[in-house]
Amino acid sequence: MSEIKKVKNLKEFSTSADRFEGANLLCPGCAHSIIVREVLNATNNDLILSASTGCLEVCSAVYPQPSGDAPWIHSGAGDGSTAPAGADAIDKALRKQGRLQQRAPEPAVVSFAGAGATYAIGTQWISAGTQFEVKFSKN
Amino acid sequence: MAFDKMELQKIEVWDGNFAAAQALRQCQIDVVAAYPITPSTPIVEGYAKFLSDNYIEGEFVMVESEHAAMSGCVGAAAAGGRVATATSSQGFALMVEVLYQASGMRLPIVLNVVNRALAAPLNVNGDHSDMYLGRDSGWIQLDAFAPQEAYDLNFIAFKVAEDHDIRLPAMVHQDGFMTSHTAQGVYTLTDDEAYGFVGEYKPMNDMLDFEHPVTHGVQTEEDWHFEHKARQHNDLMTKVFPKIQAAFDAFEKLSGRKYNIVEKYDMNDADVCVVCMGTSVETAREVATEMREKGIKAGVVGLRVIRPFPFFEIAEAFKDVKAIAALDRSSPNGAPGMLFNEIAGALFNTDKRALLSGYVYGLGGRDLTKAHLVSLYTELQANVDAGKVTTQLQQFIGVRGPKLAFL
Repeated sequence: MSEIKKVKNLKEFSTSADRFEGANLLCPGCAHSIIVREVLNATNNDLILSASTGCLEVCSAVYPQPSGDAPWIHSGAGDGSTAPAGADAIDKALRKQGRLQQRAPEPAVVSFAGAGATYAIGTQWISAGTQFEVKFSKN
Repeated sequence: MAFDKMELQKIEVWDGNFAAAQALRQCQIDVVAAYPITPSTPIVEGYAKFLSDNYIEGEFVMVESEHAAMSGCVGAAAAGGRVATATSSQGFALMVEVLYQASGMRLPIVLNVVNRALAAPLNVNGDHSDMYLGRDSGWIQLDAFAPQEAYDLNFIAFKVAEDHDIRLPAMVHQDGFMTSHTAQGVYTLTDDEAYGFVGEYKPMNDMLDFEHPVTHGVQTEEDWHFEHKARQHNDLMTKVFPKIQAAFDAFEKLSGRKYNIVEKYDMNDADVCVVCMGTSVETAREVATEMREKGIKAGVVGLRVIRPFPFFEIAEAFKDVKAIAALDRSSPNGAPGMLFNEIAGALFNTDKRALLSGYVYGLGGRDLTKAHLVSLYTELQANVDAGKVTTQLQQFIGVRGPKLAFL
């Protein structure tokens, strides 16, 4: 992380250029959007975002007006972490080949998942990620 | 680039798996995400070995399942790079959910499917059950009958899949063990020829273009889902065949090896013919030649492209033939076989409708012998002489116990 981000007050928040837009279909009062926006505000790096199938995904990745102002991928319920791991691998490969030099620093990879995508259907990935020393997110 | 090139002999002795692995090396795959399964494992092992020996500059993602392997490929392809993997059977079945994600997101991944039976009962040998399972998934499906073709069709697959007018994933099929583990002479391309043919990967809507953020794998309900699926089908039906033909033509110019969407053998004056896929095509060709010595004008049709289904090419191939046997190497489980049905569909509205019968054979790696094919061709000739199908429409070949026939 290149610099410590200034913590904004509520008034500043309302006018900031967020990478998760307010235009989404989440229920009024739902905390998902606040959490996502705060997490993404923690870094100035480029972002690769993913979400497993679930509330956040079906409310913020709606064609043709998705809410992410950063590259974003959804594949399924059990692979919210595997798909961005593949994207991260391409980043590594292209860097190795010298095809991405102009794009330093490395992007932060952030995957949003709930109980289903971590404990239930996605448990395998958490286990494999630990075993193979995969970085789940970095910044 | 900082990787080493490999000097190949003009003819190498490779099995189908190693031929495919060499093709992946020569295409310089950026990312392989894979999980091992018999009999396809040596393909991704081969990639990993080439990677560690500095013949490729890429990344191997070790994942926890085939579902995750295809998910990793989806993410990698969306990020913008050349991506491939391999699987078989149970692994393929586990991948199915993500196969639809890959094609719906229009990501040009190449999947080598080393065909193997599906459990239960568990079986590691070759049949086409996994190939058939993938036929509605929106992927392009190419079929190799021998190691040479497993090598060549990988180049064709990348060339077509990555074309910006296509942007669809492609499978290259080869028969488990009969092709994947049988070493034969394979004519090679040099590294420069091969890479020159597939060309540098050209990204489209890639996630690493941070100036132009894109969302992959969106949500659409009744308002847009149908339009997206219809467009994908439209592109499969109208755009893929011209690109495959162009790739075949360009490949022939480069290598001298000619491929066709439907591979016809002795079909010009054939009265009776067999249509099948995989290694059985070569066996049928040998028997067809022998049948001609016995006075039966026999021919063989092999499907090189399974999806999209070559509807008109099939009708054209069978326009003068009198009796056809459709050989399905997958249990239809309560229906006529897929080839039987699709060929019937292709011929139904034509003027000349040959007598069509279906055969189920070779499940779980059971051999299709020349003797089986001799009696099959003889049966077809009897149908021609009688002017009607003299047997039941669906018969099982090579299964123990009383003869099984249905319909």
